[in-house]
Amino acid sequence: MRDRDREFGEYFDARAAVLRRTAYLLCGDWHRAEDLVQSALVKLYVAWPRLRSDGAIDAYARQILVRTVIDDSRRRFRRSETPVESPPEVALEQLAGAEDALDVRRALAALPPRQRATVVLRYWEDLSVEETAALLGCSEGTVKSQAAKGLAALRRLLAASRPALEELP
Amino acid sequence: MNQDIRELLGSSLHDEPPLRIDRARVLAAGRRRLRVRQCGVLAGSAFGVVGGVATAVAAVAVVTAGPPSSTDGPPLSSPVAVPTTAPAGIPCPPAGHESYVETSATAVAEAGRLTEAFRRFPFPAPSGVEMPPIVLCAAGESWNANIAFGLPDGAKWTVVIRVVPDKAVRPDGCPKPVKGHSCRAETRPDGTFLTFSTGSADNPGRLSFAGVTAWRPDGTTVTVHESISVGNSPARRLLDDQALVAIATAAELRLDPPSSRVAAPTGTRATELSAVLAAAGVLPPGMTAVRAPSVPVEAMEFFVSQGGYKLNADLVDADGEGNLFIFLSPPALGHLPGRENVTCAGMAACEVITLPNGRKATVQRDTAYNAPAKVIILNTIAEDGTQILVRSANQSERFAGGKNPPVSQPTRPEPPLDIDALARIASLPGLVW
Repeated sequence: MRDRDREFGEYFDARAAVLRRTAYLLCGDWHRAEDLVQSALVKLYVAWPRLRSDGAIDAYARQILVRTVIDDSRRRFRRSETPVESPPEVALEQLAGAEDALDVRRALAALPPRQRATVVLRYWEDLSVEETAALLGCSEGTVKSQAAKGLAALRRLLAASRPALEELP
Repeated sequence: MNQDIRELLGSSLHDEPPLRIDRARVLAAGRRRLRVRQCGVLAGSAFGVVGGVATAVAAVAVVTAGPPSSTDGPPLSSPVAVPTTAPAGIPCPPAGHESYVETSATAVAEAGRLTEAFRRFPFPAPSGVEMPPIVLCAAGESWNANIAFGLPDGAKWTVVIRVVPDKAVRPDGCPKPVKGHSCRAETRPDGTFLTFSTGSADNPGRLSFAGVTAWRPDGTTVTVHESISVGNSPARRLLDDQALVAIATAAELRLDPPSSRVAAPTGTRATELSAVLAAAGVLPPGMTAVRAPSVPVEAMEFFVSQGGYKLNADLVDADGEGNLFIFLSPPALGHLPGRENVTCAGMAACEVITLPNGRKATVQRDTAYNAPAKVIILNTIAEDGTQILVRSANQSERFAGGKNPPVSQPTRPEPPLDIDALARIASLPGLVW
């Protein structure tokens, strides 16, 4: 148990923030993202010895995180964090960043959960089509079509503020 | 191309706040779930040997009956000293790929109380049917038992009991009929409204389930649902309508009266708590509060999150920016004033202090986990049982999260509020659930 705690603690320190970013991209709310990552990490702890021997800790963590997010989306409607219309007073450079972030966040939030998950896994987590299909429990064709639809939707939603996105496939 | 999209997605992380997931709390919750799982396997084997059939829920609870784990707190990110006076109870394990429903310590404790009470109920099973232990587990705001019955001839039934607080408007009849289902309703002289339903889920013409729901005058709604396994041929019911009604109206399944249950957090109460803090004037002269990027309310205002009341604000003065974080968790059921177990056991860099109101609190500071930031975390339990966490850090959320990846560097030399200031906040008389 002590070894498990130590190893898991090291993994927690190294990866909790990374997992939270993925969760945030999937759900659009930092507080909810923390809830989801906590839930996923507890499951990860239980499965730790098996995962350590398989060497697939990250893959499993990602899998339970995504499934937790999708389960959670199905189970109940939770109010997403409302993007603020007027960002706090910060330097101009940061203000520009905040506006960009707001645009992307709105666009991501507009995607259906599984489509959003597909985009995040393919392009943020950099998983292959095969890996994404295995994680989401669907066919590779579905992943390809969901990714294409997701990107098309992002492009449409962001086109006004980001002309360069027109070049995305 | 992928890199472009990745950068695009990364740009939405512009306001990433500091991580507030507590490692120790996650570890404790993981250990607890591991214990539940291990006990479930052992107990399941035991029931198999004696020929009885029990669900994992029941089995787990039988073996783990005892004081609740100290990890039964609701939000993992708010490590607090939990009273040890609540009765035993368990959360419901998830089904399939479902994850655990967020369940408060209060609801888990209520599951323990209901289980204990229901043991006194004479369950109306027909003679010859062995009674498995019945345990109600908690899932959100419902309490459930899933009980499997069997006979040596292979007949099997599953009885599900679901107990919920009566919050909704009572129906005035059966729901819209569904093909293959039938329903009738009646109102008893004591005001109990009952619906009786039967149906054939798999094979038309063959009864596969029967159920009763009782909307009771005591504010509790109970559903008892009996599923008849396909192997039962011809289909036989385990419990007749009278037996189903007896269970659904059992006094032992009465939820704690609403007056003694902990209220769900509300926006109204969050506003009141904000007013308490504003009236107390907790910030030193020259210090102002700034809205933290991740919160949905103004600076120094509470909002409902993770089953409790949360305040998260950046504090600014001539020394720079820092952060104040307050979290109020609900009192645990069974909390006994004066019997709180406030201890540093298992907590690093921790000391127990006495607050201005005479109550005990734990204070942790500068743990390795938070390095290089400096933090002070104060945990205490108010007289009504409210679990209070107050945290001060020398790292503001808006600048700590302003880079991608986030830069975890301090934004002022010391946390903006010292231990005395945190202790004063935790002692405010109105800062309770």
